[in-house]
Amino acid sequence: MLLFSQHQLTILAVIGNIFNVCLLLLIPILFALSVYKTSKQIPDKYKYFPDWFAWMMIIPLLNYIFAWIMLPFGVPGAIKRCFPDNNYIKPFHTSLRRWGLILVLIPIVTIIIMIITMLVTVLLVGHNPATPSIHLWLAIAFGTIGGLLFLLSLFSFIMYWAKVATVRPILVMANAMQDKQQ
Amino acid sequence: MLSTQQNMLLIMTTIGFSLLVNIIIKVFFILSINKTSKQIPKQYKKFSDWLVWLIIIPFFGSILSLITLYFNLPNAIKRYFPNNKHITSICNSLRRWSLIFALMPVLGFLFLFIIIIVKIINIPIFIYTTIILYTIISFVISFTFIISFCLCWSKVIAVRIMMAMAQEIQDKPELLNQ
Repeated sequence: MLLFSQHQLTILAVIGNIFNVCLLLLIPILFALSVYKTSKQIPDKYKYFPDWFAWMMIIPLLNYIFAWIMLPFGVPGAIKRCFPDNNYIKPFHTSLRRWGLILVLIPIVTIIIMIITMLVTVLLVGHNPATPSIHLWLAIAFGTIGGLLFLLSLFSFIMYWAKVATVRPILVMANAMQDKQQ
Repeated sequence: MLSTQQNMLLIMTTIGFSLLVNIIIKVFFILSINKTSKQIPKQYKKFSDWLVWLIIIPFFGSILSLITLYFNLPNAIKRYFPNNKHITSICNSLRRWSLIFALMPVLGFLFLFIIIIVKIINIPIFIYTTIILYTIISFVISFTFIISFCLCWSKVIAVRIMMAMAQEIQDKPELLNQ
């Protein structure tokens, strides 16, 4: 029971994949927009870093440095300095710092695990081709760890994005209340 | 290669697993909505709270979420805090995103029906264009659906905290004059 011919399916797959890749490139832009909009709600005197650092997270390779600056330290630090005593905002900046740190630490952990894999492979089984089962078990073990790390990074990315989007209207309201107090 | 029976088993397992994950995520979503809904006194609400649990129904849950997320909750909050412009604006955006959240699956099913009808009529050129359109549109629909779900959830949490803050100011107006 074939719905389409092989030719049709090939063209479909090509067009679909090109489109999907274009859409996936949108995700960093939307994330940077979200972080930028939240960072803009905080008055300038409380910030360590300017808002436009958020947009630097779009650039490949350079984005990791700016992610280290903005995600765990820039945004939560500014929120903490702006509202040190607000009990409603306190859980947000702690959780933003936690998820941001997890998000930026995962690439380093992945690289360390890759180096360990290479060292183990070269030192332990590199000169002994007669034991293929060790290769298999090593591949399964490190593959599982890599998969779990990927899931964790996806989850922490979603959590960070959700927290950033949730805290924005709360910051607007808290700012308005602070202005009234003064 | 897998036999037909094994293939069917694989497909059924995948569908069952995705439904299970779907229901587990929805339970947490509904508990979150319930927590927000509990902060509003009963006289402001037009529908009862248990209608939120209709969201848990697979395939039709998101269209039934209109009852709570579009009509009940934002209007009740607006009636409770009529003069707070921050809460009003977030309620408006909750209404907008919940409408998108509800309509995306309907659009998906609509395009699926169109494809089946075109296949039954069997005009080759039409099949080609509709399928290409469908691959693109289905990705856009699922993407928008997930984004709108996350945004609805984050707005529900945000409005709960904002209501608590506004409530505190209403209870202790001297906080503003310190």
